[in-house]
Amino acid sequence: MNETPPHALPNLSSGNTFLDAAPTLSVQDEEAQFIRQARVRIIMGVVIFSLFLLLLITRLAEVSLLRPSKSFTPMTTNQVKTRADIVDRNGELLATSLETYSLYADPRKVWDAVASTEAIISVLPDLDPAIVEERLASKKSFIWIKRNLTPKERQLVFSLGLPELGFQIEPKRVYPRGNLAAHVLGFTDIDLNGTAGAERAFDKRLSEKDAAPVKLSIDMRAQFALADELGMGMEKYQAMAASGVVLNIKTGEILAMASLPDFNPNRSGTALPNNRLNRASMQLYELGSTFKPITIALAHETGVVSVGEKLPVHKQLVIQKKPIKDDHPVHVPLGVYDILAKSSNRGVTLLALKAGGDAQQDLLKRLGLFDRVPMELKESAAPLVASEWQDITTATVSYGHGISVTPLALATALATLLNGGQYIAPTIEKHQIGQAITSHRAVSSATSQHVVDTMRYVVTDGTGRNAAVEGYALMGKTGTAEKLINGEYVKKRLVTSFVAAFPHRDPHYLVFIVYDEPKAYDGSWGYATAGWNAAKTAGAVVERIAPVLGIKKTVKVAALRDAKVGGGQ
Amino acid sequence: MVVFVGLLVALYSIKAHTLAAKAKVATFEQALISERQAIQMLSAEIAHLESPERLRVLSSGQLNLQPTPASRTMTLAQAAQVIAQKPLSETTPKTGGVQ
Repeated sequence: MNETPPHALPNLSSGNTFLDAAPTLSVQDEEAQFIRQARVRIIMGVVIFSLFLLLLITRLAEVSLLRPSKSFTPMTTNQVKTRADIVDRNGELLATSLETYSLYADPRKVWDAVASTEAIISVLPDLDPAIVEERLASKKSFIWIKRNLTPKERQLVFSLGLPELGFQIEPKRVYPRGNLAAHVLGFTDIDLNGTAGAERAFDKRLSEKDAAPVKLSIDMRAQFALADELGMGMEKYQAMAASGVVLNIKTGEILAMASLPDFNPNRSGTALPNNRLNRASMQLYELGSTFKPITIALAHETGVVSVGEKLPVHKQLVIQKKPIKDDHPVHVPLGVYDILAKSSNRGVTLLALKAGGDAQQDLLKRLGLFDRVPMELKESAAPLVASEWQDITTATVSYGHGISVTPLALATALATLLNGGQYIAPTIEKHQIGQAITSHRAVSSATSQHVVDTMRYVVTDGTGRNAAVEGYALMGKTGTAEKLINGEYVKKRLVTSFVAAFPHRDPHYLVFIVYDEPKAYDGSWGYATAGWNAAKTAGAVVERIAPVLGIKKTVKVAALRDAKVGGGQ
Repeated sequence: MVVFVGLLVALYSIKAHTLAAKAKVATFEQALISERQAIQMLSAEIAHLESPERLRVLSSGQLNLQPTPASRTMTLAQAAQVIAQKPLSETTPKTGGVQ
């Protein structure tokens, strides 16, 4: 650091030259020292600043070029599991998902488990104090206290101010219409996985992100009318259970399906198994005489009976030692129309035996009565069919005994007979305009027309008169069957059913009603047969749903002339 | 070097702006989700309020109403036919006061 100042003397001690020889003299004054120190400081400052700048540039380069930008997720609910809505055929909401708050705790932060439990129970009294205390006293870092709180409950918990408690947003499946169409909709578990009904059938589609609502074939108005009439009927006829189906014959769409007793899917966990059972598609019944239109179709299809031919139903008939009896005995032979109108067991037995057991089984297979109903719902029971088909089987099956099927299965088979003979599998999904309908021919259109006409005759002149609805030209058939208990048919324990279809000129809708063990009532003359309960309910349902479904009432001109206008009559 | 630093600063600035915009988008998305949830909640409430069972109880309890039987209904065309077939004196409304 020493420098030779300009005024220094030559170094006299060195070399040959004068300069070399001149001695070196260093003079350091105070000013020069300050200057040197200042220079050093400046240089150090520049170096430090440069290093800092370099660091800054490096960091800037790192941030700008190398580090990927973080996505923002500030307290979003993006991660909450979603599930698409379920709506009816007209877009009416049937099931939706709402965000609710679930209460959890971190037991590590609990000071006094007993005091915390008391505080929690004071605002959530439905919880079990022992369980809450046990959980709070555990060594875990996360425990659920209660899931899906109501907004009021959440506020009350929030006001407790306990630091160990926290909320987590969780979705909850909500069924705003309560019990309506509960068996069709089904329900989900707490984690929003479909476990029954449409929730289960369309689980994958409903769980997809941003999925569109699933549109069911159900018409909420028809569904309510059916459930309402069944409910009133069940009360009036003191039945143990009831079920019903409304089917679009042309498309196979199920417009309504009800089973009573029912349940509220919002509280599916507390519903009794008996209430959760969808009797329309899961309960097997020997449905009795509502099977007879199938035998009429069988006879027509096989050509075993000619037009105008009468069968000796007034005579005793015994098959394999079993006498075949009629509930409405007659003393004259009957033609096919009257056999159905008077619901003659002997008549249909004679027809079925003429056609033969093989032809009968073939037809039942074509009508889908040997398999479970192939629809979206998993709740669809397979029928109980005799393993060996003897003459007695042919006879009993001809009038609906010896074979157990679900109401939906028989409704589908009868709809086939009324749909020009085309079998269409039922569906709970709305049929789109222009969508192809898969069908297969089960019987000829001529046979179908024959069944349509004979079933109309049942309502105008037969056992189904109680179902008649003015202006809607109903077709129908009653069915009363004794229940098979421990291998014995019990006379007083009946299953009554009625199939109604309308309008007669072009059958479009089918209503199927079943009562399990209905009783006689005031005005039924001691009868508890289908004509006195199921037929009346079917008529009432048709009366309510026909205008809703856009079926015009046909009114005779004479009736029009006599009609009075105005609402006061 | 200066150009490089300048580019870095510009890039940083753009990135900072992008992040700010992203934060804003996230806020909007969050608001959108909240609004959708609110709509969902309102739809569920509407569905509950207009559920047929609830309306039936209200209409029968408060207004004494019941479903209209088929015998009391006809289409407009049928109504027009009825009116056309009635004698004029029956179909002309009596307004009163001027006779």
